[in-house]
Amino acid sequence: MLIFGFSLPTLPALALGDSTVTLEDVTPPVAPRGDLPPSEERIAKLFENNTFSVVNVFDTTLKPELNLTGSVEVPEGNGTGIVWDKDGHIVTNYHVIGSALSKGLGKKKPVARVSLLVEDGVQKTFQATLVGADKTKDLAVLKIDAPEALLHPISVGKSSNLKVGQRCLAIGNPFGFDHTLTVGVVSGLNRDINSQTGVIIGGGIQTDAAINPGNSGGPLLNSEGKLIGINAAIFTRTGTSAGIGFAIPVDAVSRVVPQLIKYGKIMHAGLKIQVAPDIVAKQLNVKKGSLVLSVLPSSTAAKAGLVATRRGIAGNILLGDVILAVDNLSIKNPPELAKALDDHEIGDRVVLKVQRDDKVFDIHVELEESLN
Amino acid sequence: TTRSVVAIQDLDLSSNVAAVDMDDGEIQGIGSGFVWDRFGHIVTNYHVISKIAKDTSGKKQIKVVLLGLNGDVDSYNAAIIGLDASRDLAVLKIEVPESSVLRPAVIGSSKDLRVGQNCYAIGNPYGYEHILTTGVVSGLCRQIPSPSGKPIFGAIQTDASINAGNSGGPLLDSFGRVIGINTATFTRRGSGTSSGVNFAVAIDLVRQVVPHLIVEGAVSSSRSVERGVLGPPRYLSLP
Repeated sequence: MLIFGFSLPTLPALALGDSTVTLEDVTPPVAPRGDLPPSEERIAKLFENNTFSVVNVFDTTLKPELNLTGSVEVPEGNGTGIVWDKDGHIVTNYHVIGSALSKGLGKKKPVARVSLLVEDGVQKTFQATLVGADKTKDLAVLKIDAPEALLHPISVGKSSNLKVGQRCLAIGNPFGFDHTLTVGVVSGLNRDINSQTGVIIGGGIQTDAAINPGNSGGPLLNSEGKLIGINAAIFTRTGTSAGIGFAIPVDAVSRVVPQLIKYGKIMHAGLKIQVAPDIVAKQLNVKKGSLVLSVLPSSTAAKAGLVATRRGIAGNILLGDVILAVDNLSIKNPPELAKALDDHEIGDRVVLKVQRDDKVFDIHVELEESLN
Repeated sequence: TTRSVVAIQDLDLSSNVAAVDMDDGEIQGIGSGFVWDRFGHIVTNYHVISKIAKDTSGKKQIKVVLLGLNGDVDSYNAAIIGLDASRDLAVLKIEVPESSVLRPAVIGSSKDLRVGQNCYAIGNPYGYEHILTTGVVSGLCRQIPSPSGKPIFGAIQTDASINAGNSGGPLLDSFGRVIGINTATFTRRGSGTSSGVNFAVAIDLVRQVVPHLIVEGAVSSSRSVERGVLGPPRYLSLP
């Protein structure tokens, strides 16, 4: 039997074997709906108001690849960023543009392409230059030259009064699906985030809103639409969301970003010393604490009497001081030492518990800018 | 809605038996579907039944299981009415003793959906036990691959979990209307685990295609690729 085009409604319904059935008979009516319930309306509005503050960030040194089916495969350098102010500053994670940063593109060449949402679905792309970046906080600030009318800065909130259980929303670009909204609650506070940059960031906010690769650098908002964190990491065995995501708290971001904008870097509180990495420490039989390898001569650490590792007359190695604790917080390894000192401000006086040969005693020292 | 959501099962008949005896078959739940109309049409994803659809041995039978009037669980043989691999849709038909046994799902519209509104993915993988996952609409107008390789446009993205159990079943809004068909979840290179990035074929597209599948019984192109979950290709949402 010949089959004609789709548009004849009286075509015999071959499959039903009943030629009286028309298209209308099998097209159900659309049931109308009322207004959305208030809580849903609120979240829908929150998204609509804040999505323009969220941008796509593409690391320029990474190239998208076409695979066999002709669809565009977007590599992990694709992340999210947040419009910070009307000057065109964009905040994102250090690791989102890590490839460009490691190639040392510096301040002249653009490190990323940033896409702003102009209207629903329409995006405009700008070249972004690097303003400042800090690996230890996994944050970076970019700048784009966009007209003020297109820039919608995010509303910054506070993270000091967050409560576990409160609702939070994440907007980002997981797997390249731009401006994706996921919703969850604050699952935990004060978590240690194992950042992709290799450092531990303290005070992290844990959430079960689905966070995936591509969400990095994007905002975590509270139910008033205020920024409470920047999504940075996930705990997963599969590489995708398992309901455990971490955000850098906004209070830390608010301290760091102005410094990055003004100075291009952050002044970290610490000591002008070098400590032994784990491998070296193990070889020298130092199992706990941080072994001091060298102390800068004019530093506060030197003035406080901290002793470095040196060679004896016979050529043997004389171990320097091993820092066991900072202000009674015990230190197991170099990253913990860096984090403990970084939690302070430059100029703070701290008490180091130090082991020298067989003796354990305290050294009081004033913190200055750390060696990086 | 519970009575509108059905289980789709694959009955594998033993190869040496000439007469069909239900007890000799091996039943495998393969997904969900929902009742479209009082004629007994059932809508589901193409990929849920594609293996059976391509089977030429005649030894496989699709069964649809639904909740009857008294809470009974009834199982019916289903015939394949129409398939559209390019939109990952399939229409089946069951013969019921009386049409009141069927409770067609309430159909909504996907064009006025808003990112942020709640949505509920329902499945009924065994026929008597509904599973529900909830989340919000995460994104709209997404492009996802279909079993034929051609893209499906206008897909709804949600963070409600979509898995083998609720695949082919309805995605509902807070008004209980069907706004999409639970179709796929994004996984990284076949890890098989959900990532919170899930997709449903939009109901407006379904409502355009299904009546044609019923009336004309169109079968899509023969180039078919089995895709129960999204694999490596990742799609930029192009404006």
